[in-house]
Amino acid sequence: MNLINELFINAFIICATLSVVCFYFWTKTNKAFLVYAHLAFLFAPALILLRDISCEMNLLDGLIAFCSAVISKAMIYLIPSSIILSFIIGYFIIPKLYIKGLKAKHIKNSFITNYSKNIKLFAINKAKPLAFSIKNTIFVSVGLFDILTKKELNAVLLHEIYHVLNKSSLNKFSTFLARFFSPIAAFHAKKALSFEENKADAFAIKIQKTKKHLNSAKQKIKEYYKN
Amino acid sequence: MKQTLTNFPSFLSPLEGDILKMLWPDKKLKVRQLYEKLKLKRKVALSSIAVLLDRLHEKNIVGRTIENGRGGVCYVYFPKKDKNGFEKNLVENTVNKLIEKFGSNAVAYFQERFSRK
Repeated sequence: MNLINELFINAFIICATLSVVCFYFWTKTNKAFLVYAHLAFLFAPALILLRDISCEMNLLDGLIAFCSAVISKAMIYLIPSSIILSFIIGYFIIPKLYIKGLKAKHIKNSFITNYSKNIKLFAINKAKPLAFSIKNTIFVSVGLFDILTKKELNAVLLHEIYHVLNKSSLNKFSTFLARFFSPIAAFHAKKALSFEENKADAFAIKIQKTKKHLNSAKQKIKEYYKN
Repeated sequence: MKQTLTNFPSFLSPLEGDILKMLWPDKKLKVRQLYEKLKLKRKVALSSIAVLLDRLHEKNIVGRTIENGRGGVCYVYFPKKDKNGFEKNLVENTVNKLIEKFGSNAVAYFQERFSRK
């Protein structure tokens, strides 16, 4: 029994340490797999503990008797399965439904295809200036095409191209998931998201060799929403 | 100067009035084209024109279509009614709202007003 306790304590310490290490490297590199490694090591000790809990159902103690073994066993399956299910629904199913709901129009744009033939551009029928990407698809509102010059539009497209090439959708989604399941990650989430945005801006500035077009695009968008 | 409803600031802002005057009776213009024409008359930002056109579209005063252009797409705006049709519609809506809100008082006033004329 003592040996088992000692083994458990060691496992707990190792998992907790690895969880913190993964979290640290995630804050530095923003790689999605580190989020899942952090979550796995975070929950591993709890799952090991829950696996060893057992008790007997005792109906003599009252009208309602809860068996902690049933609840603890359920938790073993509930925690990892809810993370996996959230990932499947949030990363695969919801984006597909969202894209279908937008009823966007496919646009051929040689500027984008120069970077990758796999990146698609769609126009959304909205006057508000919007640009975002989901997986390998960039969405831009008609309103954005209306108010930006060609170079400003290219700056915005470069920002979104960066997100597509660096799988920012996966990183952002993983950050959101981590925020929900890990209290430690919740503190870092905002920084992780702005890290992606800064890198995307830097990419656009690097390609265009000036921040003039990106800044003026942002200014025009800001002015629109001020009105 | 003939008083028209487009000169009344409570119905339309001066810039909305100017935009509609550019579009009447049946012109089809892009946001940028309207901006190029309006900036000759007054100090105005492209984003302001885009916002107002969207508002006029929401109020069903102008319509829009999407056309290809400049490596992407753009809106082309057109008036849904000519100037007289717009003013007639505005009067109708205003009178209907007054009657809805004030009921018999509004009706009594209109009867008195028309009998005076």
